[in-house]
Amino acid sequence: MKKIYYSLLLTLCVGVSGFSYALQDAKNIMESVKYRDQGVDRYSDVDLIQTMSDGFVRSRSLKMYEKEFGEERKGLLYFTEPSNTAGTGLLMYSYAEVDNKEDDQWLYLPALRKVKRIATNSKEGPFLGTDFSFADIERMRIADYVYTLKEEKENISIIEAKTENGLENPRTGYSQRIVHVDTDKNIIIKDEIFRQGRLIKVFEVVQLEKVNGFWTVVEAKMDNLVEGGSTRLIRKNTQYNQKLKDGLFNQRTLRKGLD
Amino acid sequence: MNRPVTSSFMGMALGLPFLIPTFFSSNVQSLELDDFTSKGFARVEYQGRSPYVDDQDTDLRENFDGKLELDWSSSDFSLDTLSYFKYRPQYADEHSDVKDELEWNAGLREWFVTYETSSWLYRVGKQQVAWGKGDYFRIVDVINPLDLREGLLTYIDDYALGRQSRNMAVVEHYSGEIEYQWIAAYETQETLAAPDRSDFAVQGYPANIDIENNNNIDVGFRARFFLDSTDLDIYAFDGYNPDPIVTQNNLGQFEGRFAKRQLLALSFARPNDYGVIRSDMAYYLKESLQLNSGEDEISKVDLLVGFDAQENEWSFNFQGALSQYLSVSDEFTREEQVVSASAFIEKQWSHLRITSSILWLFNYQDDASSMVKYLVSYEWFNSAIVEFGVIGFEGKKSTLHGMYDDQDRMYANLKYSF
Repeated sequence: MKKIYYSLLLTLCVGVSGFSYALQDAKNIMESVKYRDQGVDRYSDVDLIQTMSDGFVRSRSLKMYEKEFGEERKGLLYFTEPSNTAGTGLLMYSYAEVDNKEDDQWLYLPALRKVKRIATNSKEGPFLGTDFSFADIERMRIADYVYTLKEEKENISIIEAKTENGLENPRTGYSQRIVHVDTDKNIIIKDEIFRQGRLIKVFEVVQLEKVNGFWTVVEAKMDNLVEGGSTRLIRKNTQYNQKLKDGLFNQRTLRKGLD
Repeated sequence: MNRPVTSSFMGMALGLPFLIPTFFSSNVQSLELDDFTSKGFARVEYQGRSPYVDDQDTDLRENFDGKLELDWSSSDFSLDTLSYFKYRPQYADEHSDVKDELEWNAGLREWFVTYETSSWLYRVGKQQVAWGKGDYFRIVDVINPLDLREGLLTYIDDYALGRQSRNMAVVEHYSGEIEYQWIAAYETQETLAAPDRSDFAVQGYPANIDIENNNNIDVGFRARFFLDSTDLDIYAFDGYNPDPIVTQNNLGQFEGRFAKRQLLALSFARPNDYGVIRSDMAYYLKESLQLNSGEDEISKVDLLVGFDAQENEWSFNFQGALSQYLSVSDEFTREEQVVSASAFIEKQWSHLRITSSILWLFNYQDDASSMVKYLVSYEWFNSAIVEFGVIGFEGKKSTLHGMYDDQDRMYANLKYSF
């Protein structure tokens, strides 16, 4: 009886530690994704091509600048096409996760000639009407989910990311994600996104390239399984470590545009 | 207390015109405007006035307008221009000649040259500067006068077209987390009022006013801080009120002159768990009111609190504002407190292809009045948007919105951006 008791205890311990190891390992992988080396700064021209379920196609072009300031990241999006959104700018500051501080964001609307502070508490809304939400384009937050390593195939790790209580994360609007990570490159290559147990969107990397020595997502796609349609994100002219000035990431640049 | 503030800003402003040519002349060799961008729109609109007012012309009227922006830039310099034209026939119930005054407007509304270094920016020309965190209620937004020839409608639809551009020099300095801005604007421009007996004419406002020529200089200063996720702006302005004080001379002619305006103000915007709270607070050291006998020089306190929230495809914006006149003479017979409020709710459908919104503006001075605008827009094809709108005014004829009670209207337009 004692033997059975000890073997049960041993099994349980091994099981728990194995489970804990899987948790830790999954979290480590996600941290490697979040903190992978992307240089000090980077610039890209981005096209967002959205195809709606009825075949309506809408294209938007923007310039994207990002710079790391230690644990903080500052980003600037400046729309160049189509003409009815050209001149619109979005400035984003995201902070170290340990600070537990919401991002700061400002939007410049040319028709108002004004920079407006925008709320960042809810990011589940669509980003400029595309199939990407504001949560999809923001910097990943490890603490949003609890991670479990589900499967490993060569260099691909499949990780389940779930909210602690199983409900929707109030900020992202997602309750669960199945994340496929290329662990050689530390890049998410596929992300199945769930809300209330239902698969609602699938993100997939279409093309990866090494630019200036950094692995770069050149093309990605977000399929909307609820409303139909999809949005392609195409990144061009990417350049890393361009010594972007700190002063680029302020409200003045938003107002005057980026020449 | 006023004098040192005024003098120091005047001093800073007077220094600007001397500083600017120095910077431009030293860098003129690098003026190669190699990057060119253009954008604009063309719009056709049909408007119909409410048929529920007796003896009123309610025929459909067609409006056309278009905007063209051309920008040239090099690494340091840029030249921006904005041209705008508009054709808008008036209903002109009583006098058809009113149409001629408003029918066509076309011209170069804005042009300015910008030179920029890593921490300084210099901009000279005909331009706009928007101050404050408030929407619709201009507590701090005092630099550019308004074009009210269509009431507040243009300003609500497109702030930049509702404001008049003016000649000014702007210098900005960026230092870490603080931005400084100095403005010197030459020659006070009056608020453009609708001609007498046109659709949006202001009741009791004289038809022909002889406005004095002026060499006034408005000077302004703003410092913008970013402290613990809060945007904090402080402002100072010393200049003139664009609404002229009207008096009648011995010959019975109406004469207008611009009265002084001085203010100190503070604005902030800060996100919280539910959205963004923002506020404009201003103390007008000098302001003027129109009396039958002329000008009443007063001081004034203005306060605005606003809240913006976004939840999926829904946007909400609420504002309340209070204006309290101080040191008012007995001759001023209206209430010395003005209350304003606004509510805006917008919903988007089908990935932004369909947008529906409702805007309510409220004003209370002596009596309540309000304006409601309901709008549905649809992205018909790429860059082409169809809009249907209904605008209603409510209140007594003597009130801000009620004076346009007979101007309720519906409209439909097609706007193509290029």
